[in-house]
Amino acid sequence: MYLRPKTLNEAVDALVEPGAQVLAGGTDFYPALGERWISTPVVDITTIKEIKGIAREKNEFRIGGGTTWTEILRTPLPRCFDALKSAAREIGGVQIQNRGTVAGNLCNASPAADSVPPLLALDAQVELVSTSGLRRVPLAAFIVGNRKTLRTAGEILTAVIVPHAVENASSAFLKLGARRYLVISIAMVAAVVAVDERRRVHDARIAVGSCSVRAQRLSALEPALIGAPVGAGLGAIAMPEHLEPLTPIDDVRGTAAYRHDTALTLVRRALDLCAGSC
Amino acid sequence: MTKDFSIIGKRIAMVDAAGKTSGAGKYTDDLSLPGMLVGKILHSPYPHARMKRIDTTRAEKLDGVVAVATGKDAPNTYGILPVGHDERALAVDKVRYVGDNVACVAALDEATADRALELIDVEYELLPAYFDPEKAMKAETDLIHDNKPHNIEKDYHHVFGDPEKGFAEADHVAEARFIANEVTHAAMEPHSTLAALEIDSQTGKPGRLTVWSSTQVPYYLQHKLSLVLEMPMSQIRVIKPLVGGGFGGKSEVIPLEIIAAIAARKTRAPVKITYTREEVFWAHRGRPRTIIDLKTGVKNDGRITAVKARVVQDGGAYCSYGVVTILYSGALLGALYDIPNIQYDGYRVLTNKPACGAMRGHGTVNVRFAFESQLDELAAKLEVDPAVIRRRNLLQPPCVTINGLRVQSYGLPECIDRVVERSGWKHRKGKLTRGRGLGIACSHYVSGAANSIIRSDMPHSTVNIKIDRDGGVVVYTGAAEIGQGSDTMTAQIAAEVLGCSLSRVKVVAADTDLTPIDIGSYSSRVTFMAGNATLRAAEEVKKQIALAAAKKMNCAVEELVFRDDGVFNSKSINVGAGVPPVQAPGGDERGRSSPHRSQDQASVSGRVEGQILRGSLQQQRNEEGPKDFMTFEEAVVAAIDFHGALAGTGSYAPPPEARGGKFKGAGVGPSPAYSYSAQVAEVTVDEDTGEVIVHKVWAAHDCGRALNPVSVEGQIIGSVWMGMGQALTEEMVWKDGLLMNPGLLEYRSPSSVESPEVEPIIVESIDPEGPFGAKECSEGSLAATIPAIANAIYDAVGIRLREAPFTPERVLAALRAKKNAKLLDLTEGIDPTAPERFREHGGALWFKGKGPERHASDPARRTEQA
Amino acid sequence: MKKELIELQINGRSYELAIEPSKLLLDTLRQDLQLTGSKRGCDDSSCGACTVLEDGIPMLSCTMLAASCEGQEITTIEGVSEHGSLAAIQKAYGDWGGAQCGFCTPGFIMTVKHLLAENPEPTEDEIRNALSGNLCRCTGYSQMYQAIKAAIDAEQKGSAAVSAAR
Repeated sequence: MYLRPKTLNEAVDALVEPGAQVLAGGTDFYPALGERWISTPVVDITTIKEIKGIAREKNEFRIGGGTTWTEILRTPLPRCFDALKSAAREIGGVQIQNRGTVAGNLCNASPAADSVPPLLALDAQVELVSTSGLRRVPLAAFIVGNRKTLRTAGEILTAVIVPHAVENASSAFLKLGARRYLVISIAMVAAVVAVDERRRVHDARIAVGSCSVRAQRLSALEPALIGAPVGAGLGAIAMPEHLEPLTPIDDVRGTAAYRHDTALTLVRRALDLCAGSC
Repeated sequence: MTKDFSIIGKRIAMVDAAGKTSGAGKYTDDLSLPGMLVGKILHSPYPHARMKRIDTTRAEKLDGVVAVATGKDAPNTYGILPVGHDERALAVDKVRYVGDNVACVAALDEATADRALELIDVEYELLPAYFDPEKAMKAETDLIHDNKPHNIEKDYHHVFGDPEKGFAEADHVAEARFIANEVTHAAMEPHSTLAALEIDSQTGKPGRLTVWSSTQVPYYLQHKLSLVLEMPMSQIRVIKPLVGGGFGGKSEVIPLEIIAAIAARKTRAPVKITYTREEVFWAHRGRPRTIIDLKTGVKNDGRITAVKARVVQDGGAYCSYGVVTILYSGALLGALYDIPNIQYDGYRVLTNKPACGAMRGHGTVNVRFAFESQLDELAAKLEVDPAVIRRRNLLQPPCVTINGLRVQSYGLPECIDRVVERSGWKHRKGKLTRGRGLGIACSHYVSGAANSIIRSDMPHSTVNIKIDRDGGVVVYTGAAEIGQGSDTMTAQIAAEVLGCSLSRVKVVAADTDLTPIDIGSYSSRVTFMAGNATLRAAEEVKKQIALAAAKKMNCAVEELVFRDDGVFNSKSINVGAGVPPVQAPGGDERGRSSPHRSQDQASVSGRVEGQILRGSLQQQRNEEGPKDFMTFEEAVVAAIDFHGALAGTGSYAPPPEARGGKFKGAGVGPSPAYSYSAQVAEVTVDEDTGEVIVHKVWAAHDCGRALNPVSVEGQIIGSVWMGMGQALTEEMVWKDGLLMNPGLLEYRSPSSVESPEVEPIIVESIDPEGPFGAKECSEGSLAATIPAIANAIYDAVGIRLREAPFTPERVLAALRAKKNAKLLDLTEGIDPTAPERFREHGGALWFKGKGPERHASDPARRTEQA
Repeated sequence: MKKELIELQINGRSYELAIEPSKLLLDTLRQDLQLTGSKRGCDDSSCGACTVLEDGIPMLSCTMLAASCEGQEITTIEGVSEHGSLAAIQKAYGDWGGAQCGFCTPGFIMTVKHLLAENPEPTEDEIRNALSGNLCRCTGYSQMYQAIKAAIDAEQKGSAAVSAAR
């Protein structure tokens, strides 16, 4: 069964069907099927207008779940979204960016999902809608493991919510992969750094992806950066022990040891990049 | 042969380009026939197992399934080499790698076929499997093939000169182990075959078999189909549609080609099988993981005194081209430099992985990486410029090397000079900013093997040409266009010899019913061999036209010149200076659609009014009496009137002098001519992440003569680029015989962003035997790129990388080892044969979304369950 | 899965088709419409050989259901030729060696078509980035850049000639 509802209400109603799957851009959906035959009911949400686009609301930014990466790239956004834009530019290739959606990347919950570190660093929340209503969950809690999220079968990820708090902070995203595009990252880092009027760090958020089953904020490093003067040498504050929350694995793309090693390099560079643009 | 050509050497668009750029060109998977079924293959989930029982009844009962074929439907063995007939299209008793072929379902549609595969019950008895060649060589029991003790497919031990004495005389000796990991062709077109049987008009039973297939070797396919299906070759027709890249991956018979025919015979319906990308990786036949223990001795001036190489190739489960690969690895130590003493010990070893075969630069690439890296090391030790040490070891052609290879044309010195000049080597080498460096390396390759795989005295290429009354030239060649420009080369040579415009020439290629035998597109043989055959065929037809034209023009045959769609009396007309206008619409139209020439519509048709006016033109000519000039079609009409049909044939077999020595294994390596290449690579190394960026490669290649510079440059750039992939990112990673990255996403060939500028530099040494002096240009450049990059990395950051690819991880490990002044243990790092280092499968989902679940004995799974 | 009737707009023509709603656009093009110019080169959305334009935007037809394209205008490689002759980019790819085996070429041409529609004079860097979602195994991409530049020149000359004629 294939359904293409036009409204969110129709969509969540359709999802009541047992086994029904949500299809957004499809860029992860079809490859993951492997065999090319879809046997479960599919609810295609690509034509639902309500969940597309980016809006600045009173207290927050609202990125519709159905927004594509190309749309994110082309929307003028405050500096704190630079990291997200960099990530958007490196998701798959151009065709994937034209099709793939924010909701899809988050719900697919790959440990190497490019958008997760920048959104974690923005303290993003996700909005989930089902026939029983709407709920918001912090992104950090939403992704619980490798391809596992808190989304229930009847829910649609309708939006990502980003608070205004660090709107003017500088941000950076770095990704290490064997290819620039069409690649699954070996390690990636997003950093958001806000400075006060004395040019000292007053808020810092660092998230690392591809180095644990889900992307992690470096909770030991972030407070260590507070109060540090912004300039060359900011990156040097990051030390190997700050990366302890990471639990990288050996796989076809790289060993755990290498991931640990380069994650630190990327963290330092991302901080220096932020410092350079503050 | 110094004359100005009208078509040879011009920048010309490929004659089949429009079909490719418009989407109209048909590749095998684009074809369909009425009543066509879809074939799907069941593959082995185990690396090594005995098949105890196979039951297909459940699958056969599924609605939409027409038949299920198994090994007993065609149990004969085959293999590309006569000494290596060890494959069966579908397994009979044993499976030898994950992905080995077990059964084939032919069904009305793909979904049904896929479902039916799951209903085939196979009972396996698992056998111990071998994944590491050095371990496989020690095995006494559970051999992969019973007739191959110690799992050694073949070993060779060659000594030329006196290597011991050579090393004793050396002032410096370097010795090291190099490893080049396994890579594959990854041609963009997945293999596809469509097979159909005609009904015999007499008996109503299945009769002739027609096979459309993505192959580089239609005649070998016809031959092997005949062996396996027990049908005479004359009852089998192989047609090669457009082929979406080969690089060697389609240069032998791939299981689906025979399986499709078996299924077509069993179902009495056309059957098409197209591999999924994962199946392409299992079909493989790529470049084997190679372990090279190399020792080189040099005098203080840089002269090489001796080379000793021990090479172990991890060949996978079947012979494939393996015996040839291991011989090339030794033989092509010669013919690049002058090496007086060589010892070579080569082992081709069987393991429980997909078979390796021929891949661009067959046999030479990995050993060349080791050799050129070691030469660079020695140059550094001697404080000799790496470009200079290469110049000090040049051959003095014409000559025959110590291992029996005849070298006539030798553009290597010029190649070295040109890249040194273009790259600014002398003033930039060693003087770039930290982390940036330059490296140089050289390579060479055969222009076709002088001895064919199947020993016989038959010509390697034969070409027929027929010319119609309107002056349309049809060239029939068995050579397989696979994107390298074979058809264009053929058309150019025919047009040049006949002096007609390119657009008159139509090439009919690679259809065993229509085209004479050509052994195929591999080992860079087509330009040299099929080109020479085309040249001879065209000369023969030209002779017939000339006889008739001379008669009409009342002059001697020798006085005639064929050019610009006309036949001239050279005594009366100064050809070239003032060519009389060709009396045909579309006048000057020798170039088909070169980038520098605007194409007018009239020229494209290549058809002239003479087709209709022929009779009256002829009459007119007769009335006017002898002339100094005839148009091409007038001459053709005269010749046809004079001789009857106008046809010619030409063939090529390499001369006996080029066929090499007499020792065991001497047949592989000799070629009528060798191409030469020198390259300089410029790289940057990120010392914190180990990432390597290649900025530019200057690549000079001696191709004898560039028949079509656009194509030659394309081949040089493509080779360098593919070499860069092997140098930096491409690697097949294995775990327990399971390929961890069987997809284009994870195999990681470079994308446009990582691909550097390659400056192709054409060097023309004009080979005495090549067609118009041409030699190979599609493979030889590849081998130099890997060591050029390795040597550039050394120049940039002072580390020697002896294991390819130079992934960021390996580079960083080497940088860290250097910092800690520790020797880097080569067996450390990602060793694909040490599965315990991996804790988890690739992340993406393989094997129809089932991932690791297919492999019950997978250690990762056991840990999960525990 | 039961077939359903859908209507697709492809290369300016409309087609009414009975297909499984789960059928991918690529398979529909190749099998139901015999538009075989779009190719399948991979199974993990990584090669770009199946690229088509959906309302002018390049998309992978292997990651779209045909049914989800109802109402959009699809352009495939077969729709690129202009008035029965090659478009400038198609001719340039042939002339400059941008196509060797040609299997990836239709996908590249669709991507380039969009690039030039958006950015008539891209820098080499912009070209490289734009092509990064398409893989080629023959050319090393270099000759494609030359082809694209030549096509831009040809287009400009063409339009200059048209305006001069006016």
